[in-house]
Amino acid sequence: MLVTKDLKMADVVHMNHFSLSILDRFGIELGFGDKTVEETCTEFNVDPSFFLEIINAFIDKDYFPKKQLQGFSVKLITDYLQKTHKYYIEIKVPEIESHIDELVNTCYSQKENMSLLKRFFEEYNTELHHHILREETVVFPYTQMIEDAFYADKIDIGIIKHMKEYSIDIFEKEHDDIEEKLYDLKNIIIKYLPQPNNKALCQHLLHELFGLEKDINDHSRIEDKVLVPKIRAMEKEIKKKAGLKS
Amino acid sequence: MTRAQIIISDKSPLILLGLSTIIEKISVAHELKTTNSAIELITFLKNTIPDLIIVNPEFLDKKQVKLFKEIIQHNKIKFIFLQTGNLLNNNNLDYNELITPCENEDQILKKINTLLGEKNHQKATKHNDFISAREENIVREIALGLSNKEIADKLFISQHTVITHRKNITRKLGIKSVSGLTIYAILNKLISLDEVK
Ligand SMILES: [Fe+2]
Ligand SMILES: [Fe+2]
Repeated sequence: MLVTKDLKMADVVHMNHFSLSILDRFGIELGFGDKTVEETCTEFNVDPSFFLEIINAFIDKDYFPKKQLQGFSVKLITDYLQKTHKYYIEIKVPEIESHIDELVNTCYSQKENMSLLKRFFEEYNTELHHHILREETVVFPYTQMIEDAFYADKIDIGIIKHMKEYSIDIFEKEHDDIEEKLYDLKNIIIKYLPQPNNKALCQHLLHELFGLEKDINDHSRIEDKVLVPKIRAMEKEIKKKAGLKS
Repeated sequence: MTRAQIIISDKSPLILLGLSTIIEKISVAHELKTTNSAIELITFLKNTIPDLIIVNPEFLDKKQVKLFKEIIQHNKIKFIFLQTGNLLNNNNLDYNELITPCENEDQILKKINTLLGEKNHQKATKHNDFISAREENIVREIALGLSNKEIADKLFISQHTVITHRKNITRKLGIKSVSGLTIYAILNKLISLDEVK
């Protein structure tokens, strides 16, 4: 079922409680009573149509309104992506880390193996930080520059120079699969790690990993399928305006 | 998960002890009973249906052999002929496998594992069975940090073959990254923790 603007916001959370993390990212606070999606969004200064596309794509992985999402501004899209990064780094990853720490501390049946998991996740965390840092310091400033140039009356020569050194094609190529290690970690726990004595914690950890993997999948999909094609089209247009062959 | 019931019977306590020590190592969860008394064996079989019987039937008398045969045929119990005497199977008994005292541990374990595996597939969960010995070697080298080229040189195969192996390993294990494969290798004792840098 798709979320629509007239649906009650409370029902959206009932439909899929993972959407809580999306609400949080948009700065929407709980306690919305019987207000609809549109009313709640307006109250918290969120573009309701953008919110709808994001939440629907998140809830239903087969629903991906590429064209609609590409219609929103680069700024809106990258703001959302940045808020998501923040959620991973400040909330999700520390949460998983503390789960793993607890797992290591309360495990007596296979302490060494648990330390391996811990090391593996630390490595993953470093990778994730690098990935995000690169996007925030290189990619997003570039996409913003492209959007500004796209709407400017005159094309600055500096922009064209910049586009020669870096382009969205380069990002597409270097944009690596940051979910890979999460997928491995899940499989190691599910398939290969003998069940530890503290199995409830272990299951809790798995649950968290599934959640993060799903979230990152959704996030990367917006980067690859919405941001990249949108910027590519803009780059082409800018070159045309500057009188260059694309 | 129910445990596989195994009973071993022979008149020699030494054989019983030796065989039990080996059987403890099988990869299937099990319960083991041993007896050197023919009467006890028959009584046990009248009350319990084990998954596997390892017996030297030479120490049973004619009547007991007949009863034994009926029980295992009726309940389709897997039967390993334990040939500890000099005589060959002269009791006209059908057996699934034959074990002799000159066999080594691996041969014996393999026979038992196979028979119990046929009986109950999901019990055979030794992970190493998922990938071949060759692939295991390659996982080991990957975990040690070798590149495709280095692995190819070391194992005398082409880089292309290494890549094919890696693809198969990833597909079978569901592990893509090098650090993931390293943990797999440690968990499955393909390498020790000290070997990893
Ligand atoms: Fe990102
Ligand atoms: Fe990304």
